[in-house]
Amino acid sequence: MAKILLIDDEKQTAEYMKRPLEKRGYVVIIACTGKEGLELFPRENPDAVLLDLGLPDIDGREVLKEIKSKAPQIKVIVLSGYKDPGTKKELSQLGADYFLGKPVIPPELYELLKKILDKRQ
Amino acid sequence: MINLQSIPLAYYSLSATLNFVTCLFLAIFVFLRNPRSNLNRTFAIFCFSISQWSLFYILWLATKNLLLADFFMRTCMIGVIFLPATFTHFILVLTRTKQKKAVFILNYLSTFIIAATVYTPLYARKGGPISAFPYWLIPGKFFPIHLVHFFINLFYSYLLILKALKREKGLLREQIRYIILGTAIGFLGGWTNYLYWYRIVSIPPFLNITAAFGVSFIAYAIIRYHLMDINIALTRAGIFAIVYFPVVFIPFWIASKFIHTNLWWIPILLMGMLATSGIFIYNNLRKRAEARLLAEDLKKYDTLKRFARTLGLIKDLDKLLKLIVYRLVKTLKVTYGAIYLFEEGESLYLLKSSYGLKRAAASLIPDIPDGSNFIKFLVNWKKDVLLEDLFRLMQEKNLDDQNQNNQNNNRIDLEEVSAQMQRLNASLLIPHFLENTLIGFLILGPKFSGQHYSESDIDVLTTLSRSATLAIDNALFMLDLKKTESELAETHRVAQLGYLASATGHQLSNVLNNIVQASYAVMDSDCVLNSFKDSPQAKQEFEKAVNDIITSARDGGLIIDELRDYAQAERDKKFSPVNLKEVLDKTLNVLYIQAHKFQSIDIVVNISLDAPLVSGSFVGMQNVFLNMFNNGYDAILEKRQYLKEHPQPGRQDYKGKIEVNIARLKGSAAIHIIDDGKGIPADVQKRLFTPLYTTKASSQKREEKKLTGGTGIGLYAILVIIKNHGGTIKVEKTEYLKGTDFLIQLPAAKEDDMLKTTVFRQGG
Repeated sequence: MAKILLIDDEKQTAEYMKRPLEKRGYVVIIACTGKEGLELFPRENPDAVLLDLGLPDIDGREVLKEIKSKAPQIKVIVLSGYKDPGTKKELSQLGADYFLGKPVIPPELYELLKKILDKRQ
Repeated sequence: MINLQSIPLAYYSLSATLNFVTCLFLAIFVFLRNPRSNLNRTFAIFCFSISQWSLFYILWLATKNLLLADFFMRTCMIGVIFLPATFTHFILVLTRTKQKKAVFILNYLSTFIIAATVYTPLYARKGGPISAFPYWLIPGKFFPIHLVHFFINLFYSYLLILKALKREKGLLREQIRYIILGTAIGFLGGWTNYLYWYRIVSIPPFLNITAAFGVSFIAYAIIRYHLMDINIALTRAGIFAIVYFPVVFIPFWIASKFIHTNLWWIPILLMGMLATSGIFIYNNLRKRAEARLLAEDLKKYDTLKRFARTLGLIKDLDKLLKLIVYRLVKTLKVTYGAIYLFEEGESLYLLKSSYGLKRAAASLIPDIPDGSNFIKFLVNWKKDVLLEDLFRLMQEKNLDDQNQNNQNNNRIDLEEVSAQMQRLNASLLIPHFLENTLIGFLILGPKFSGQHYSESDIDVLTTLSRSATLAIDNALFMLDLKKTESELAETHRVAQLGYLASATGHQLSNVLNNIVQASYAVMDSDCVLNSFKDSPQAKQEFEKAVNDIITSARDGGLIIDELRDYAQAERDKKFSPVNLKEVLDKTLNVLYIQAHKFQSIDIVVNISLDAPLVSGSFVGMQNVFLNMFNNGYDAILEKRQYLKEHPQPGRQDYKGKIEVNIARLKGSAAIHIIDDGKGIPADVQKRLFTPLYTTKASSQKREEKKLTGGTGIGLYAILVIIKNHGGTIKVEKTEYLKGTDFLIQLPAAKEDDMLKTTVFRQGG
């Protein structure tokens, strides 16, 4: 069973995302700050990370760098309201594997996850 | 009654010396002034004849040997024999009369024949003393022929010249008047020589001296492009003669009485006294006479001068131009006037304002291209142009071309220029130069009176033109400033839109995301789906509504994207590789010209060689610098105020300094703006970049900002602009009473962008 780490400071939103994902057979761990996310990451050893960029404590980019430096093989999907090409390019340089603009449309997310995780398995 | 016969011989020697020196000098001077002009050449020959006469006149009077006196007097007459033909020659050239070649040759031939007889008794027999003169010849049989030849030439020349006077207009007419007067004065004096030949002893050649004056008059008329009003010239000459006649002759007369006594110093002392006071008397009389003579002109000039002083107060360009043209036309009583100004974008000189065109039935060309002959000529000529100047230049140029057919590379087609001027029906052109740039020119039509533009007219107009140029430049600057301000406001608007779109877009996206996730979670929830078990229709309606919510939220996201894309596109449209040095130069220019306060502080700029171009908006960058300088200046002012209230030793001479250092820092330009002002207190530092919401300040503040060179936007706006450029700004260092160091970092322009600029520059 694939495990997903969801790092998003909007706790409410995270909860709403969690349930449909669980229904689809994923284990979802929620982290509400960058610090929490980085703490949970090695402990939980997720198969994929959903990362919101606008975090209150550590910038999403730093979290991304940290994760990728520890486990480059783990796929990271960045979720962000900033959709300009400059940001996307910067994120891909930092190691982000996929980018989903907000608002995230759930079926699109599921499809992407399925693709990533099925390939992995 | 003065006994003319008692005039001492020394006087005649003196006047001959004066004539000789004057004529020889003028002959050489006028010739060298323009050796290729026929007019100058013939005048030089004419003058040379007079100087030949004068030289031997001196020698003849100087010698005690009668044989030598005989020889010198005859040689002196050769000059006189050549006078009539050379005079006619000069007048032919002046009046542009084409004489039959045969007549011309015959005239010179007879001159030579008469000259050939000069040393024979046929021309003159041996004479003897007469009055003060130790020796004077007696006319021979040929002498009357010389006289006839002389007077025929004189008569013919005057006929030509009077005809020309009637025919010609403007400057040439004025020139002719001078020459008539000059020759009349000269010949009137010379004529007195002939009476002694026929032993009419009561009138000696006492008017000889006038030759020098007459020739000077003519020389002036030839050399000067703009003649003094002849009335003024005459008045001056008249007063000069009246004042200096006694100055010279009273001591002379007394000298003849005292020279052999012990009291010889009396006339010398007197001469010194008279000569000194003469200057004052002359100047005084001249001023009085001219004030009376030129009362109307002076009033006119006074009006224009006063008008010139008020020009700087008018800031509105159209109003200013209208006023200048109207005033000139009315005051100088000119048919029409017009002003052309350079239009940078179009490389044209455009007709900006005119008055009297309809009345003068003149139609002006609306625009004159920058590279045209007409403009090239004005740029080269640099001063006012009279139509007559052009004619004269063309004559000289023609001769020039005949003499040297080469070196035509940079030649300006004068004929085209004069044709252009005639098409414009222009009598006078006054260019407006700012430093070396021709920013425009003024055209004046002919005067209603048909008179030419006198030297004093042109003097006054030139003065006026200088004030007008400055005033026009000022008005143009204000116009430019208004444009710059609106550009700045526009950049600011776009910058804020971008910032707004970016910042609020992010927030809104989060909100929309929440809506979508919540909606989907509800729709996806098993317990909710279970509650619809019995009513498939309700389930259908529910799912449709939730899907609608999700679709709407997604559409909302797209609208945000569009807004952001729009701001981005607006921004990109205005972005290009910008050279920060150019931005700084222009900014400092604005500051120095507009805000004098910046001249009281030191501004130091260091730009390292590797400083990159940045990608951005020129105006935006300018705005950043303007505001940074203003901030720095305010900090310096505060420190000055502080030092005034808390005097410290060694700090009285505090001036204030703003330093700008630009260098490359990896992929960006690092700009330090360092002032040695009062520094920023910690509590202010926190609020430094918060929005003040004064995009449009009160009119008073705007006015003040305009004067100080700022644009009324604060540090927040600077932050917005810099963020929009993808850059950062922060306070690098600040210390109380030591100053502040702001660091701005801006990404360097991409290489392909720079390539574009390079190509563009080569192309341009």
